[in-house]
Amino acid sequence: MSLNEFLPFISSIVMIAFAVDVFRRFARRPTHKHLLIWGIGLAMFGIGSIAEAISAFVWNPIVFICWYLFGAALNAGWIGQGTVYLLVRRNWVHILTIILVIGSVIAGGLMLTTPLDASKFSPTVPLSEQYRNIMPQGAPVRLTTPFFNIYGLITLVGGALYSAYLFWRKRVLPNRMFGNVLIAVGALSIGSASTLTRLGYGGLLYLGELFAAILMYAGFILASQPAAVEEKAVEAQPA
Amino acid sequence: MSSPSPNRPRHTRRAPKQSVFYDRLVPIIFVALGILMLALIVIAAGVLFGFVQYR
Repeated sequence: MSLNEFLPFISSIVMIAFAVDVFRRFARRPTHKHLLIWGIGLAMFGIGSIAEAISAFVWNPIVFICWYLFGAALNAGWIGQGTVYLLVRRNWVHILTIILVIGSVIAGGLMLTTPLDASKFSPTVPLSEQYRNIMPQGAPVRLTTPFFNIYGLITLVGGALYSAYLFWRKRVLPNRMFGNVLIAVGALSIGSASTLTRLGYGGLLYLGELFAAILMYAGFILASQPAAVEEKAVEAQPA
Repeated sequence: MSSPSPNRPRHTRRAPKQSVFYDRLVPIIFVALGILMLALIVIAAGVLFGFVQYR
């Protein structure tokens, strides 16, 4: 099994575990909407990784659509929207979610109506290096990805850095500061790899996805640790 | 063996009062990550408005 076949599987496992963990936490606290939105975004990331892993062996148009739609286009915006729910406790956040849903439906419709050239597919080449041959030049759906990516960069990375800065400035909860830094680094790794892919250098996408999955999950666990710790009181033994 | 006290005091984890890592390195990390984020946003915006040709 080559690296291009192996890495997406590892990313998929990590992302699925991450999404399941987040959904379980949401089930315990259904008022924490940010967990639901994060879970949806992480599930999209996981679907994209699974689609990549499958594409290393066989062509399937549904799998390719899932890869591009969930892996390349939508997931960043949705994960970022979860961060918006966490940081902004205002009703207008729901309007942003509605816009995100509408945008996602439009992107999905455009993707489903994009003709794909299966004859250009080769299982030995990473999807990130051949997708532009499979999709027609100038396909409208490709114009939607910058919107979601920009929104995801601002909200997810910007939100994580802002949270980390707040904890740093107050010098409290260093675990949450470091956790948010890890989340930002993870998001930037996939953002950088995606950008390079879009510019024609798709060889690092799988590595970027793996780093993103591991770092973001590690950061989430670190930042989710309880805020307060009990002092270990040493009580004198009674005489 | 001491029994757990229901009123055991709790405190919030705090960063060390003086730390080269916390006071010097972490701000540099913030700035570096912020610059990278802005660069990626600019490139994505460039793709959106046609200044950067995606391949």
